[in-house]
Amino acid sequence: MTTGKDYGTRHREVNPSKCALIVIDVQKRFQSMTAPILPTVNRTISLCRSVKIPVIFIRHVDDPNYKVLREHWGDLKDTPFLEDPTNDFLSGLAVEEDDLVLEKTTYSAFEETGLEEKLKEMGVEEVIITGVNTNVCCETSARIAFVKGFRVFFSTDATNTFSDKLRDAALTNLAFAFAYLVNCDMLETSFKTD
Amino acid sequence: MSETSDFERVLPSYCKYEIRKRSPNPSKCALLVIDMQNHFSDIANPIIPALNTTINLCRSRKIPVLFTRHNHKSPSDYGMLGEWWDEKLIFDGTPDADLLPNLALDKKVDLVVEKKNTYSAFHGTGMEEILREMEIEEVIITGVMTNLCCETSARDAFVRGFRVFVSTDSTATSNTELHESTLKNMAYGFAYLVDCKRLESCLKIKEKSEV
Repeated sequence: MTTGKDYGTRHREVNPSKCALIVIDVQKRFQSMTAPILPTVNRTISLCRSVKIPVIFIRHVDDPNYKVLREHWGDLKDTPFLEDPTNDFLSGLAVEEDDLVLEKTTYSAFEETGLEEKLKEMGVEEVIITGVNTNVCCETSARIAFVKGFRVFFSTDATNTFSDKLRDAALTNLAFAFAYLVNCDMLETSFKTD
Repeated sequence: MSETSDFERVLPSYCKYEIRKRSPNPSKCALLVIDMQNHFSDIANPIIPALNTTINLCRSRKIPVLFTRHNHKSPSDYGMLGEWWDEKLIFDGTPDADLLPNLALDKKVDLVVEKKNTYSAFHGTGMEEILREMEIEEVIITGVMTNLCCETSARDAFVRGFRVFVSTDSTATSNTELHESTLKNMAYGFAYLVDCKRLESCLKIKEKSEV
C-alpha cells in the first residue's frame, strides 16, 4: 500500500510500555478499503500484542443529527462508506473479546469517545494509528492526538484510502509535522531488539 | 508532484479541487485569521493583500473576525511541538510572536485569541466556547500555515460540528505541494473552498437580494 516515496520522515522507536495501537474503522461497511489491508492490520496487531501494547478498536457509527457530515456525504448510499448495512468489524479482523472498542460518529477517534481519558488512565503517551481512511479519519485522529500531546506513529502499510494522490497528500503532511511513519517490517525489527 | 501548469494557474484557485460548493451565511459565520505573525512573515506577507480583502469583505457584512496569536510562555506548554521542532518555537514577549503590522486588524471590534500553543486554534483556547456564545455555526479559515495550523483547525472545527470554509488564496505555507495537498484533502471531506473572488460575489449577491 505504500507508494515507495521517501517522505523525508523522521525516525523514532516506539516505546511499548507507553504505547497503544489504535485500529480505526476496519469495518465491513468500508470493505473496499479495509479488505486489502486486513493482513497488514492483523500483522500490526499481532506485533503489538507480542510486546504487550494494548490494542484499541474504533468503530464508526452514523449519527443522523450530525449535520455537517451529512452535508458532505449525503445519506451515504451513493458513497463507498456504506458497503454493508451493519457497523460490524471486517470478518477476520484480529479483535479479541477483552479488547476495548470505542464508537465514534465523526472523523476523529478522540471526539466524544472517551479515548483520551482512557489513554491517560492507562499511562499511554504514544499511539500507533492504523485503519481507514488514511487522509480522513486516520489523519484527523493523528493530528488531534498530536495536539492533545500524544506522540504519534502512523502506519503506512496498515492504513488505506481510495486515491493514491490523497494518500500521498496525507503522508506528506503527517511526516512533515505530526507523525513518525512506520510499517510492519519496521515495527517487527524494532520490537525484536527490545 | 508536478509544478502548476500555466493553464491551471489562470483558473480561480478553488477550481482545481472543489467538489462541493456553498456560500457562507453571514449571520452564522466567523472569519478565523490564523497565526499571521512575524515568525511566519516570509510565507505570510505575500497573502496579506488577499487576506485583507477577505477581512474587509467579512467586516462589511458584520462577520466577526478572530485572530489567533500562537505563542509559548514556558516549557510546560511546549507539548509535542517542542519535541517535533526541537524547541524552536514562538515565544511570547518576542517580536517574533507579534501579529504582522500590516494586517487589517481593528482592535476595537476584532478578537485576538492568545492562548494558542499547538496546531489547532480550538485546543485549549476557548475558541469553541467563544464561537458558540456568538451562535456561530460556520468558520472561514485563513492564515498560515495552510497544512499545519489552518488544516488542523479546519479538521478540528469540522469534528466539533462547525461548517468549514477554507480560503485558497488567503492561506499559505512553505511550498506549493503542501498547500495543494491540504486543499485536496479539505475539498474531499471537510470544507468548501472559497477565495476573494467567490466571497466577493456571494457576499455581495446576498446584500442585493435581502433574505
